[in-house]
Amino acid sequence: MNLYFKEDEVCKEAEKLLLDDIFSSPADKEHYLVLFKEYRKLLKQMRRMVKMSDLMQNELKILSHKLEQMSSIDSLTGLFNRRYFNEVYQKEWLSACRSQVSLAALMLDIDNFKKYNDTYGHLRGDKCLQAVAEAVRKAVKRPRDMVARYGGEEFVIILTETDASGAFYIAEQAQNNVRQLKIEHTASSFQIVSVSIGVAAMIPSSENHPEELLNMADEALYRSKSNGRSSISLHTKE
Amino acid sequence: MNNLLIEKTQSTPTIQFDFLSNVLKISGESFPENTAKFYSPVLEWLREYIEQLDSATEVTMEFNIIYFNSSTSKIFMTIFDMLEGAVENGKKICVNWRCDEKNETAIECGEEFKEDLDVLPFNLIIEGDQ
Repeated sequence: MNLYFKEDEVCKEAEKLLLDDIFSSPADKEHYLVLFKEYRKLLKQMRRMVKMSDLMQNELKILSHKLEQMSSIDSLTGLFNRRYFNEVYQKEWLSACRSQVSLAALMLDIDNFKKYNDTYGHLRGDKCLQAVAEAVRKAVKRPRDMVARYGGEEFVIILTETDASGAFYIAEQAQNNVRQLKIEHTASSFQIVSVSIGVAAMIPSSENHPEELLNMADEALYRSKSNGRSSISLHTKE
Repeated sequence: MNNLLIEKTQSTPTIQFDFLSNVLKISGESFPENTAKFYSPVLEWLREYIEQLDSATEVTMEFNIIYFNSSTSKIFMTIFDMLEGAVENGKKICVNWRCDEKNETAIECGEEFKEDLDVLPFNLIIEGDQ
């Protein structure tokens, strides 16, 4: 379809009038011709302006998409960042409240990461973070679930419509994936890089605060750490 | 005739129309809240300037615009129309449309403006990082 079919129709009509020579005097015809030429010129300009405007808008659209991505992604690991996690988590919490289904949170922390940095340096530390992030991400398969970098060497996973046992299974997957990386860590008693995980799940209600589930997962993570690390602990709401 | 100098703001470009050197510069970004209002003194100055111009004087109009809105493109079309009319009347005017090699949109828009012209010399100048 021609975007300017109406304008083209007007031009055709004008050309026809000129051909039919319906004007009462040559001066009238001349005047009409001048106006018609001006109309065609302005029309041509408008077409260009619309084209330029489309170009600009397209560029802005691409830029805004890039910015949105940049503001939601952690640049080191490529996982979602905490800012974006908070946003999504609030939505998932409300959705679970409404539909009264279980929501699960996993807190993961790389064991003895400070020692790793001290032993191998910060560059290797960054590489280790990237590898662990990827291994953890692979444990989560459903598109609505989310893995984010929560802090320095801490990650968080949100699993929708998942109860404690389902969440525990994912935690095992994540832990295995990290073990299988077999990243050397001589300062750790396991000799390889490992993660401790805290798991929590609950069916939230409007009486609960969204922080509760995350605090529960955090408490469970603390227990895993106290249990000698490289373990998974479960916290369930009574 | 006085020079026309307008400092740039966040949404309007720098205008440096130098009556003595006959170099007229528009540079920066252009998306004024009220485009017609912002450019009305600019167009007025140009009209007067062209009127007093003799056919020996060589005039260069420099555009270095990073971003502009649709209303601004309409104003630019109007400016090019005025300049084209002046060239048809024997005045020596040329336009330099300068843009960064990375700014593809500005380059493409420059091409669009250029294609619309018949007699006004319009140089698309693509500049790299110096």
